[in-house]
Amino acid sequence: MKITIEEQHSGEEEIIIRCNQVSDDIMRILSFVKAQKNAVVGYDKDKLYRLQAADIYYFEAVDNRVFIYCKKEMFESKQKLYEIENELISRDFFRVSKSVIVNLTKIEYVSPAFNGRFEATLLNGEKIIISRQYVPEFKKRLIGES
Amino acid sequence: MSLISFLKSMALNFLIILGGCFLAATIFCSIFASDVIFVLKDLWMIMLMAFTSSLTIFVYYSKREMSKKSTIYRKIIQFLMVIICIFGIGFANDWIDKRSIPQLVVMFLLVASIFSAISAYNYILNCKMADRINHALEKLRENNHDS
Repeated sequence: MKITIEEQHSGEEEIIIRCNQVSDDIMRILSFVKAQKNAVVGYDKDKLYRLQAADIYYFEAVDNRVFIYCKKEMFESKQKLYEIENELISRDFFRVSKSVIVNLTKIEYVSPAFNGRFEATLLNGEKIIISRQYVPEFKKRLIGES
Repeated sequence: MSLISFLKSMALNFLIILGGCFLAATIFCSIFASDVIFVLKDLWMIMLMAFTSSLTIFVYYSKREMSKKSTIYRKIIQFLMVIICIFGIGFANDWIDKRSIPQLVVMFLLVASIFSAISAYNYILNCKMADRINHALEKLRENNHDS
């Protein structure tokens, strides 16, 4: 297989695969590329981890630090919450309060909380609050009405 | 919540409370004054009662996110304010006899019942919305699993 890399100095980066047929090898390359695109960098003390977006339950900002919560593990992110939101908004992530971005596919169910808020129970049993301010957008995203 | 959403919510509450006021007035008069005749002023006063009661929703207006504790306190304050509005207008128009304990108790129970019914209605609406959201979440999870 011939590999060609062309450097460009502007515009969006692009990967083009020219093949006779989509073989298993090509599929493996594709899934690797996709996995890199969906990866989020998390730190645990001095160690750096590439986390798959699909494994992340939610992000939370606490005292100017952003934490990444997976099923059981917790990592720290060097990114700001709004940067993460901009990167992941097109996927299944959604901001549910000023300090939390949740992976919608990790919500087991929501239930009404006090005063127009909702409480989301995640698949790992954790509970997070969907703030009243974000409820209309949340409804719009999921059921198409606010 | 924006001020516009808040005012919309207040307008809806006004209509619900107005219905509650008419219901309470009908029950109260059936018990204590079955021969009463309503004049136009009374109807306006009932509207005023509903309007002042619906204004109490402003106890929830806050730019900051409220804690569960704070919401419960505000709910209690709102109930007390509704009681003051209803009894204030009731006393001012001589609809309620201040010296009659049965009248005071019945009116209090009516207000408490209607207040609870409206709170329950809002809760049921939110439960229905939660069901729809849960259904959408389930679909999202299924689609995600398939892909």
